Amino acid sequence: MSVAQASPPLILGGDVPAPLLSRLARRWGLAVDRGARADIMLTLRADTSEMARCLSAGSAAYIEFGHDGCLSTEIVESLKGATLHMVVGTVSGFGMQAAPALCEALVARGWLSPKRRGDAELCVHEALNNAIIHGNLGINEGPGGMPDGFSSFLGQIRQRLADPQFAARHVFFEARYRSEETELIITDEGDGFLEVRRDVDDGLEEKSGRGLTIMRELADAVTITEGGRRVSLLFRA
Amino acid sequence: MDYTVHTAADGLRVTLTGRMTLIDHEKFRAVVEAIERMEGNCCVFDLTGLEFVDSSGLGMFLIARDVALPKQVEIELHGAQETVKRILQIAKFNTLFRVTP
Repeated sequence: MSVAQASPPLILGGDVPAPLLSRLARRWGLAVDRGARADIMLTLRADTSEMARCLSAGSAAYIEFGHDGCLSTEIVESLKGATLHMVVGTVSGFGMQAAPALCEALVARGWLSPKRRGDAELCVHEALNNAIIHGNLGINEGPGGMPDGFSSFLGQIRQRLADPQFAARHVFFEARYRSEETELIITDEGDGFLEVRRDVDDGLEEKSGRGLTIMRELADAVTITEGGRRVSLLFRA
Repeated sequence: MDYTVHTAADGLRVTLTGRMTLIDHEKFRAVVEAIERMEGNCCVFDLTGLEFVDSSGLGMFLIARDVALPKQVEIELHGAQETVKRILQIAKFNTLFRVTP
C-alpha cells in the first residue's frame, strides 16, 4: 500500500465542486486528479461503501468536507508517514458503520493483526459512538433504566442531529502505525467530559455506560486527553 | 440486525443475525413484547448468526431480562461467536444470564 512521498505532491480528489478542490489544492500544495487514486479523497457526504472503496484503493484520508478545519496541516503532514485518516460529519457518522471498514483497511495494510481486528473494531465503534453522541451531540446521559429509555435516547439523538449547531460538528479518526503497534485516535468537537472510572463489576445491570470499560479491557492502552474530546487506543501486534 | 421469534415447547426461541447496535432498539422492542406475551419459562436467544454486539446491544439484552424476571422466565444466550462472546465476558453476562456455547 503506497504511502505519500515527499515528492511528487499528494493527490487530492473527490466529488466536491471543482473551485473548492482547486482552492484546497493551492492552499496545501497538492495536485488534483479526480480520476486517479487520490491520497486524500474529499466528499460532501460520507458513505461507508465509498470510504471502504477509497481506503482499499490506497487512499490515506477520506474526508467529509464541512469546513476548512476538516483538512489541516496536521493531516497533510502526517500523510508523509504511515497514517490513515477519516473525518466525517456528525449526521453521516451516526449513519455509517465506519469501524469495520477502518479496521479492514488497517489489516490490509498490515498495521493490525487479524487476531486483534475484532477487539479494535469494537473499541473504534464504541469510541466513535461516544464521540458522536456524547461529544458532538452533547447528550450526557445514556438510555438509563426505564423500559422506554432507549426510545427516549434515540429521540433525543434525532432531535440533536436535526440541529445545525450540533450537526455541523465533525469526528476525526486517525491511525498511526509504528513498528509493532498502532495508535487509533478518535477526536470530537464537543464540550468534553470528566471520566468517572468504573470497575468491571460496577453496575452490571446498568443499561448503558460500558463503552470506556470495554475499550480499557480490549485495547493495550487507553489515553483520554483534551478535556475528554480525544481518545487514544493502542494496539500492539 | 434481523430477528425471528418462534414459540418452542418450553417458551420462546429468538434468532438474531447480523450486527446489533443502538439503531436496532426499535426492532428489539418487538422481541421484548414477545417475551411479555410468552408462556413457558425459557427464552433462548440463538446468537450463532450474530456477528457483532455493542454496548447498546448489551443494554437491550438487559431490558429483555427486566421483562423476563417477574415472569420467572430464564433467558439463555446460546452460541455466541468469538467477538460477541468476548463482549459478553467483559460485561460478565454469565452472572446475569445462562450463557451456553
